[in-house]
Amino acid sequence: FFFAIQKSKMFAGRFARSVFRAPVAQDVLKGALRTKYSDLLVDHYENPRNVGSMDVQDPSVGTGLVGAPACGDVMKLQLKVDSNGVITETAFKTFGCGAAIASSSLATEHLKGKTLEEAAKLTNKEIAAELLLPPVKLHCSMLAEEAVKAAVKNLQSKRLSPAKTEVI
Amino acid sequence: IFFREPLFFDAMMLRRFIPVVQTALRRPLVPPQQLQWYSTDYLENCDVALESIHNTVDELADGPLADDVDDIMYDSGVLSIQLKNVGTYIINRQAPNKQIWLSSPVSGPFHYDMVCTDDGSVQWLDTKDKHDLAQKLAQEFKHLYNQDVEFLMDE
Repeated sequence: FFFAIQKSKMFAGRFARSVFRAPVAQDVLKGALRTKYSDLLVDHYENPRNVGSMDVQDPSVGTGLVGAPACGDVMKLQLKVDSNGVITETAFKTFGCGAAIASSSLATEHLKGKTLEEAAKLTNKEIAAELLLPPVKLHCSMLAEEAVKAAVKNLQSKRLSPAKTEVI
Repeated sequence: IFFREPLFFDAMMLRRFIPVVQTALRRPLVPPQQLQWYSTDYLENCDVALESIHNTVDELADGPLADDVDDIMYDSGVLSIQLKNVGTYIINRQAPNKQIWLSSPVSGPFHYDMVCTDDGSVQWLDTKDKHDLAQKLAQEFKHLYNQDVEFLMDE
């Protein structure tokens, strides 16, 4: 790809027309083999849903913070439940690659309207299948699942002991 | 730990740091408290494990699974095995966590911690249910191709 850019710079002048090369079979194959992110993933990356932050001290808000900057991915996922235990609002902030952002954005979308028990059942397989994640990005969906589980666990521990619980 | 809201830096805020930068330059250079280095144990063991998996799969590709293995690439801690009609296995080192990460087209992503046993050997055990990486790979290849493969994580 870099070579392609250099080449076009080289022949940008008066030699441009004479050196144009028709695409050969290898170029077509290379383009086909290159994996692209699915449209849904690109949509969630460019227009992420539920980006934001909720009050950590709020007793009806559960916060899950997973990952580490050294690994390249950090996700903070928050969910708010109403008096019936149904998730009404979600918010997330993610530092990481496009697949990580899309995974956490999709997770927040899936969580709305679920109870805590149903939310804890969200698996990385569902997220990966929906976003059509390439093999190297499956770990992002796993991190999103861990973030959801951490948020649910945080909220459950808040309900058990109403005293201030620290976000792990 | 609390997640701090990122401060929005702009050019106007930068001028506040000028006196700080000048004192920092005059201060004697002291190494930071938390130096991030990866223990040579982990790096050596990880390389040994990945190399041995690479060699085992190479042998399979030359022998019984010649038609099923499309491509094997091993470069700078990332081993990628492309299988026909199945998908791509990616086994890579994750140095910040001292882990090996596996991404299986059959069963998904897994993280393996380095565990040193009493007799000096090293095992790679899953973070969730403590299964062994070598056994996992053997199981998957058995399931896919009915081949009994032994992944010995030795040199």
